[in-house]
Amino acid sequence: MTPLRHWTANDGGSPSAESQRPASNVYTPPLDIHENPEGLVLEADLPGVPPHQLEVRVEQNVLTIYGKVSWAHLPEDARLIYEEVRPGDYYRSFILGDEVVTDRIVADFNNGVLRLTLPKAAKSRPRKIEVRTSASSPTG
Amino acid sequence: MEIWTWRPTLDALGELQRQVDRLFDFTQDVSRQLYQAWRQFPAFNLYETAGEFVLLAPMPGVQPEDLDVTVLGTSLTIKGERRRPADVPDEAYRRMERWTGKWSRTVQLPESADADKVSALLDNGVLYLRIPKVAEGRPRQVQVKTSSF
Repeated sequence: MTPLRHWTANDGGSPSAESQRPASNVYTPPLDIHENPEGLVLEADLPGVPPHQLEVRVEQNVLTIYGKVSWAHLPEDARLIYEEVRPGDYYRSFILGDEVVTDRIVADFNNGVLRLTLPKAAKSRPRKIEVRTSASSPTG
Repeated sequence: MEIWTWRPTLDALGELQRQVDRLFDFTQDVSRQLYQAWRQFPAFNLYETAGEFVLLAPMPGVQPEDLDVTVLGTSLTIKGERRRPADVPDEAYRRMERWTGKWSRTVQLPESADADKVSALLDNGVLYLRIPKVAEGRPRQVQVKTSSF
């Protein structure tokens, strides 16, 4: 698993000076969220962000993703001749539902895709409730 | 020249209108950014150095085995595919903003590229293609001599 800096509301951590640097362009990364019985899985596109420049932060119930982009393999003397993407950092923040256990969030960052597993508290997970008709019940 | 009488009641409405406009501008800004993110997948930049072209294309989540790069003369084609996890049914999604599917893009390079020497690197979800120019395409230093030689 990729090492990530991850703060919870209690550890008093603060973002590094790097993250407070004003970026020229800040993009909203597109994301997918899907649900499974254990909780939610979030996947966000953060291409060009090296793992050590990605910050995922949970404060109270607000989840913040900040990624600083470096195009590390571009030659120093490269001259731009055609442009569709401008370099920019990624920022997105949203409110998590109360059912998410913020201490157990797991982050994985691979190939420019951040995958966050947001587990739900056991009581918020769907439970299957057996429905019996009177015919099948032992007393009926 | 026409003179308009300033009416406070109408201006209050105007202010509301402006505030609503600002709110819409904000939401449009967010949706525009999202739209741009997947409008053309993959978007790319092209750079040039003395001896090569460098194509940079962000393509998060694309595996090297799902990429196909071909160079023919001045024409460069990148084909690829990005998939969602196969084991997740569509109805499990609460939000779907990321682009998936098959794509193909062709770029005309300004000068001939050396198809045999193209190198590709995928790093943190960004593709870097280095395409050397063929010898004729490279600038050459021409020695200028004076007649005294």
